[in-house]
Amino acid sequence: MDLYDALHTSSTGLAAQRLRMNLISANLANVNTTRTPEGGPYRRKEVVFEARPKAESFRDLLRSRQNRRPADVQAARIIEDQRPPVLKFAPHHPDADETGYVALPHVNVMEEMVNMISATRSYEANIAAVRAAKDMALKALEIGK
Amino acid sequence: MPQPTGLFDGTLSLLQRTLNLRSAQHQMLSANIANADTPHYRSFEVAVEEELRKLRPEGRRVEMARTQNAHLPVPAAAAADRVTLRPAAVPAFSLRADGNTVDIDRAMGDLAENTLKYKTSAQLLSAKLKSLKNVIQGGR
Repeated sequence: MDLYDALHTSSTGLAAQRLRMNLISANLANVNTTRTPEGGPYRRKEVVFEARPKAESFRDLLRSRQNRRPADVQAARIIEDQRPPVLKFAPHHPDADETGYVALPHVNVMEEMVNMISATRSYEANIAAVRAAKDMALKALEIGK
Repeated sequence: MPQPTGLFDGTLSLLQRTLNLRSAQHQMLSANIANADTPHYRSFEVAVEEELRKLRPEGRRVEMARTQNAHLPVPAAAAADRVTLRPAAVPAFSLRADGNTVDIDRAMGDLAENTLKYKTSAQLLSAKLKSLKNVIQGGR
């Protein structure tokens, strides 16, 4: 049934936005982190989304090849920001180099906040879609009562 | 075998088709909203009104009878199952650099409109069935 598929699509959207929000939280939490298991300062992380067409039957597969099929969203991969770390003069910091500079993560708090608002709004849009699908299904159940 | 006319034809099948198209449209809109942040995603929508216009009867039509289950359906019936998609209108002054064509404001508006129209059709179908029931029971 289309409405169940719609619910599933919206839930993939919710999951994707939640993952994005988790990464934003991680970026904000690690704004001053200078030590990581990989060595060096923390690197800002970001998620790349991709549309995954539903392909359970031949017809679905054909339509997805024609890019004419409703698609779920999924996280393709999580990328690390390759911008160089920000250098700050702090000679007493244990991770400072011989010139007295500490390499801090290139996390811009304002950028993260803007992304956070964007993720929140997208999440809310998906919630609205879920609510609409639920209303429609409930109304359909009333037919013939 | 003559097709039932009058009582179960017309309004009921039209409403049924409307509900199917509206739920397909809802699925499409949900996919567009879910992919609002996906790079290079192109948004599509169901041309509900156009599909319904195709269903409008043009005078008298000759229907083909299906005497075997293996017979292919007549074109009118086959067209009733099909849902054609069209690309949604691309926002005129989009400042997005990621190639995504989802207009989230329009998508949310369309979603609200589609939900309302689905509920309206469901209500009409319910009322139609209620009146049929009333007639069958002789108004008692």
